[in-house]
Amino acid sequence: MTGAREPDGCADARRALLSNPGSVPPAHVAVCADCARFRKGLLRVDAALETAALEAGKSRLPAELRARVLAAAGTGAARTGGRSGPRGVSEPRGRLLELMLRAGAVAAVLTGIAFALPEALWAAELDADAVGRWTGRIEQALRAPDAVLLDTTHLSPALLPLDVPPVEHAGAVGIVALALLSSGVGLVLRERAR
Amino acid sequence: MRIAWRVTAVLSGLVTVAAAAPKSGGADAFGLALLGGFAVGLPLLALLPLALMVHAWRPALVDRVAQAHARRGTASLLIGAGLLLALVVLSGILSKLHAGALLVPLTAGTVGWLTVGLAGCSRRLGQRLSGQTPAADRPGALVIGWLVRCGAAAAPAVWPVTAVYVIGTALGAPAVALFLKSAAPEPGAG
Repeated sequence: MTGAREPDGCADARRALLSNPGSVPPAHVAVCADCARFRKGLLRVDAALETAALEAGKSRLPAELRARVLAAAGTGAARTGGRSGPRGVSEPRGRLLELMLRAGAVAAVLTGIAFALPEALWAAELDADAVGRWTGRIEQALRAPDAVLLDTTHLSPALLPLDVPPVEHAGAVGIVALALLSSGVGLVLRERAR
Repeated sequence: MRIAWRVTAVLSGLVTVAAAAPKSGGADAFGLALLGGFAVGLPLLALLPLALMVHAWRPALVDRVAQAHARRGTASLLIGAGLLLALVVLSGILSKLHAGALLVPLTAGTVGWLTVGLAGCSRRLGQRLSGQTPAADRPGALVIGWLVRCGAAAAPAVWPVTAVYVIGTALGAPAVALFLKSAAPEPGAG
């Protein structure tokens, strides 16, 4: 086609072939040998690209490129505190710190409950009579004549083992609660600021 | 809400009585350590229908709590532990003041908050266990996660620790969801 003037319709047909290579060819291609060759060339290119894409999918990344990708992923995880890397993998030190924080929170709650419980009930491990008295109290409340109505004001004192927590203990537990709350909120706000 | 409180209260009482029943005069400490977790696990299990209703009506809320728990699990536990201790102190003070009636709204609010939180935590756990993606919105994952968490809270001997962990994270996750900006689900996270 170089130098020669293209017959009418060739330009439109080739534009159509280039914009939609897989579609039904225009009618002009059937009567024009040049356009038919042009279409065959396009199909060969498409087939070669498809084969190359399949081969690329099967092959492994070159070692150097793979190392660079992994290094970049590790840097990203470290920069974001190990929480939001590509795979969400934390750094070992961060994981240990989180584990310690979690264990501390659970221990604080158990200690706080132990402080708030009456001493007799707290020491039920050695003397189980206090637990027996508590469950007896619940049983009595459930067997009361008005138990059918399930009066909550009647049942709640029996269900609640927290008779009278000493004020100083309640204060200490409250302070621990505040410390836990503020540290948790601090962690969230730090995440939010990122 | 009064009904929910009553059912929870009666269930807790019955289970505690059943756990301590072998000795009518005094409870067996070994039995308490072994079976005491049922006093926590069974009431939690009784909240499952309520959680499914929340999941049906407000799936976005459950999803947001699940995201918060997945992104900031430690913060969830810290805040939940603080709330749990605050509840213990508040209950003690109300008990001392003989203001049992005030315990009703307090318990109702806590149960609702806990249900939403536990639904979020359970949904993510169920998705992990059943191999679903976070985008999958099937209530089956919530049920699986909920059962596992209730079982963990009732585990013999270690139930005080596991129950505090399960309830603490469930109480804290909705609070974290209030603070965190909404984010797209993590790719491949489960």
